[in-house]
Amino acid sequence: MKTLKLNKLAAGVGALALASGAAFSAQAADPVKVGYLIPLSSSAASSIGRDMSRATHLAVKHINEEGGIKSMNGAKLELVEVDTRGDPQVAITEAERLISNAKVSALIGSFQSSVTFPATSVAEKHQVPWIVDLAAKKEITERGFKYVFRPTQVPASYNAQSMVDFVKYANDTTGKPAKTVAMLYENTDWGQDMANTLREGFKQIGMEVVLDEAYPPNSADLRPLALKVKGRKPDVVTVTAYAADAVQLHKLLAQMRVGGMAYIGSAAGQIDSNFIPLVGEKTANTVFTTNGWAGYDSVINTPFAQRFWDEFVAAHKVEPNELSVSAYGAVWVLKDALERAGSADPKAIRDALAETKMVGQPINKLLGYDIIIDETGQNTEKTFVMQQIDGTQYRTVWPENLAVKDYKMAWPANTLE
Amino acid sequence: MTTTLIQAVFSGIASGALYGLIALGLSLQFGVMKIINFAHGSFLMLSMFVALWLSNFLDFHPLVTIPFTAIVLFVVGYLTQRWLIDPIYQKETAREPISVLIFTTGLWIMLDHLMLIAVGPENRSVASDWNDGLLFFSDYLLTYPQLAGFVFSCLTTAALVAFLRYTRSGRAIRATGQDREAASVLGIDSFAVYRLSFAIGLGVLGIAGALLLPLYPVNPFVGDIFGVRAFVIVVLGGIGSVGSAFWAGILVGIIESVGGQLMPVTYTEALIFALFLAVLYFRPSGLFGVEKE
Repeated sequence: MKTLKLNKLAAGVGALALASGAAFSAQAADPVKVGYLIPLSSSAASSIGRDMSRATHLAVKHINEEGGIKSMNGAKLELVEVDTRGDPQVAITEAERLISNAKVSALIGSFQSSVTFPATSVAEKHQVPWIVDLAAKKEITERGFKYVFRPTQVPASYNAQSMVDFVKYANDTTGKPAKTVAMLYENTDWGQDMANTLREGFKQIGMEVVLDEAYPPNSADLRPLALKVKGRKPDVVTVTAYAADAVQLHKLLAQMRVGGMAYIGSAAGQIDSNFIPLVGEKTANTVFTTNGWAGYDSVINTPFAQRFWDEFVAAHKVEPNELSVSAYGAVWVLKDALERAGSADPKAIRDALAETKMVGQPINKLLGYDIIIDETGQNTEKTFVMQQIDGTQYRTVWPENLAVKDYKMAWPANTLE
Repeated sequence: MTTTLIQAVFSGIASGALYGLIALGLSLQFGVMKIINFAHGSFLMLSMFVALWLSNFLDFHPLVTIPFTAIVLFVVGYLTQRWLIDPIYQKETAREPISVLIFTTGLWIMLDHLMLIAVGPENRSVASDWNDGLLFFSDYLLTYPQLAGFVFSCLTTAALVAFLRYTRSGRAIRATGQDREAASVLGIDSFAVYRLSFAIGLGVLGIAGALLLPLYPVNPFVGDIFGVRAFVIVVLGGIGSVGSAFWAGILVGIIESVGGQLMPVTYTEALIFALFLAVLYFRPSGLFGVEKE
């Protein structure tokens, strides 16, 4: 008897809540919930993850300030952020939770290939679209998935090929060709992907690979590896590493007097905002790195871009780089899709994303490339430049048409002998 | 290749001595109290941060931070033992205190994450010209931090061994470690001994932290790697002799450094653990440990 009465009461309260809820939703548009997975701790990539998270939040803030999604009555974006800790297992569990419990309409994330690759399968299974921000493993968009999109990053092979093309350019034009190369890369999906292209590429341009070694990320001591490199006496060393390991490696390579002509990074640890302060200017000036973003001088010349730059620097006291810009861009791609979909339904968003064609818009000018999603969910318009660290600045030196005009590339790059 | 290998041996001994120092405190704690302190790595991280702040805010030279980190960690160790571990330990009736083990695991996770909340995940290090100083001898080189790490590790180990062997407190500690009941019958307050040994263990760890900072950037999770290493070294060296942890550390350092030249570096970690497993199987009391009667 008691339970029956309680049930009636609960039903009554429930009906009331439903009615008032319906009344409310007629007036203000519900926010669009977007799941966001990013490494914020316990990983070599967490300092990058934090930078990207800041940019993502800034994009959401700007979109909401401008009136939200206009085709949905000004619905605001609501970010539901989760720390993946760089752990694929955590990402998979959290993606499930975000989709099933938090009922997000779309997901963005999560920087690392080793995490993004398995976690996106979850989204595909549940038919919720996932916008990959920066993971570069090529298979992410080669699985025939319908719900995974990668607008602001291209497979690692593009990055690696740029490194090879640059070395060929330096060899051909400076009169001081490098003959041997040592490849160091982290033992993860990303590192191995990069290495596959580098290995092939260096062979094709006639260089001898004297060392080809994967190292475990977050190692206690990379000194033995640096010592090994020294023993092989390479002309060029490529360092495919995230922040903490890149700092350790470059410091060790300089400290142990490994010599050589240049140390070339892969647009990860070497473009992290902490890199130059942590390795010191002298060591930093031995470093070249690819970069998926040409930088302040090239693209911060519109009000849209200026707003992003100024607010980011004011709030976080560091300058944006390719990683934060890509994170920023990913949210704007979602916004564009939501405007065209006019609904928070994951399937509708998915269909809109598949037809994304953003050309000449302010966000394209900021990123430096167009966004045209192909049938695999991939945008193939992004390109990489090569930059040299001079003083505390990153100077674009290649390709020639994008090279900074008043800077003469130093080749060899003053590596300490 | 020989030059590289000999250089690898030198580097390996230098880093190994420091690994040994990191394991030293753990060995003392385990030998005396039979507790495995899983928060060891977190305390190391703490001492590295103390050294970092002293260097960055008060401009201390890395070596000058050593006595300060040692004292701070000593006090932390004493308080931890007195207020956190003792109460749990006293409730334990079995010889091996499992609840303390579980507690230290929780402490590990908590300390790491409290630090993460406090300072953020970035890697930090001290920018100091001394850190980049090099000592050249014939074809080989050692950095000043490597050299300092080696020298101070040796000195600290020697001092600790001498303390344990020749002083009254030292003997009391060893006695309690050998047989707690017999020692208390003889009038040794075992809980006072535990407090002292835990505090000394962390004090030694404090010295290691100050020596490690110039070599390795610190972040809230840096202790994880070294904590596991220390554990492996303690068991490898053997329970019962504090000095054995030091020698095991050097062995691990050499394997890591020389091994790295002869095979891909990813394998050296596996090699160290393979050795660890082999020792556990064939000689459980450790390579240099005292055989149990």
